[in-house]
Amino acid sequence: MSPEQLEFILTQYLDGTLPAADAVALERVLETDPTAQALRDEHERLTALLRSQPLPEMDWDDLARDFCAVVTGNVDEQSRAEDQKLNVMLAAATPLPELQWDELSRRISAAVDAEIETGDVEDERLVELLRSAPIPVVNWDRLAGHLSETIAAETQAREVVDERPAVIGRIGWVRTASRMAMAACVVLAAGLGIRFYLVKPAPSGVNPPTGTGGMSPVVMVETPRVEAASRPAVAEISIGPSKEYVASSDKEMYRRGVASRSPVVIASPVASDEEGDRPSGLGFE
Amino acid sequence: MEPQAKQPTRALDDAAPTDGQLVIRTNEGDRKAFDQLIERYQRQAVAVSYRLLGNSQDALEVTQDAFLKAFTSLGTLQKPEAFGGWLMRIVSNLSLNFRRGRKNKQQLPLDDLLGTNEPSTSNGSGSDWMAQSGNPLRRLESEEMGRKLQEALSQLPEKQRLAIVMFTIEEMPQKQVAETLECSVEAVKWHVFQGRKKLKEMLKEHL
Repeated sequence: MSPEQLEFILTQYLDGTLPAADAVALERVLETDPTAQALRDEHERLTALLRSQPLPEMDWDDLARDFCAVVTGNVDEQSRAEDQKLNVMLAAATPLPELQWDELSRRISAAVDAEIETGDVEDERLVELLRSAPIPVVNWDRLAGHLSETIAAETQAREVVDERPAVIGRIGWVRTASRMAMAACVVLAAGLGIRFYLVKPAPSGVNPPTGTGGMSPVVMVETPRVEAASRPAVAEISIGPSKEYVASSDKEMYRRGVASRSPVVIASPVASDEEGDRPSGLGFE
Repeated sequence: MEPQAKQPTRALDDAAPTDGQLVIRTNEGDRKAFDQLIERYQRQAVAVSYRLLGNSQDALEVTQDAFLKAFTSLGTLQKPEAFGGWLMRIVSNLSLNFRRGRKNKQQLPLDDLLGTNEPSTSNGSGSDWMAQSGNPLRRLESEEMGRKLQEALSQLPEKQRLAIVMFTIEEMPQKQVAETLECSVEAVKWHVFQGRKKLKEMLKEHL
């Protein structure tokens, strides 16, 4: 048996948890082995030391009454009567001890100020520390190039994603249906075209006949007509700041320069051909 | 060898209802049944919390919260007979959470703000491990030993600490400790053994 095993069995023996057969065997060892005896005495002294500190004196019945009143709300008649007496006494007693309220307030304020000051100092130290850290040497041109390449690659990747067909287009039956619809549209358009090609239009201003004597229906379409100009067109173009801006601006340059000029330019067509009735360009006044 | 069997609050006679019966009655709406469970387990709950926190006021607060939590979620208890272990698990979890919260909490020293001769209830260490002794020297020694014990216990891993507190110090049944720690009885033995070895090393000058 190792010393550790002996000590383990010994503590169980002292605690009263060792089986009876083992206890008898250990007692035999204890009779002859001085090491085991010393160990037993040491543990007995330790147990005595640990139990040497008594619990404070308490009135357990009174304590139980208090716990019951708080926990379950059950109060016996005696406690109720005592509470009523106590309430009367408390009502007559001085409500609060005399505290130096100003001093208390001052101390709390000082404690708060000290805390804030400490925080500020720590913040400043942190900022200094962060600023004192050296900036790593960077090849800025290379970094810029790298960033540009990254952005370009990202843009390209997004374009590829945008060009992808919609998810709905990848569904088989939708694709088939859309193709059939497209084919139907083409057939319909071709049929209409052939029909209009074979039918001759009726003369303008003639009402379509109501009978069915071999005449086709005619559609009349009115188009806008060209009006003759009475005089050459003139365009008025304003250049420079608005009148409101000029009025509100305090910039001397606008007052003396741009603002002092006439803001109006009149452009009119210039007749350059021989007849003088067809404009060939714009003239400015 | 002295077999140890510390009962919860008071010894249960044969006629007393079992934990399972009380749990079922509580779930059926009988609040008085839960009062009996409180009386039965309050000492054990306060003791475990006190051993973990080292402060009686904190221990009472945690114990009250634990009973409240147990009462409100009693319907979720799968095995009514395992109420004891289940309650101790709530107590130990709340105590450990309370302890962590206390460690992280930073408080302004307000004692000196009390105007007139208001007595200060804090001893500054957050612990009232002390013997109820009239002898000041003995009381100081006991306080010092209490602090050392508390410090040594706090250095143990949680499961070992809980196993030592519940099994070795409070002498709770191993089965209940196993239910609390959600492990086997064999594992409880192992946690106790490992915890004892470490405590023996840490407290060797006092042994």
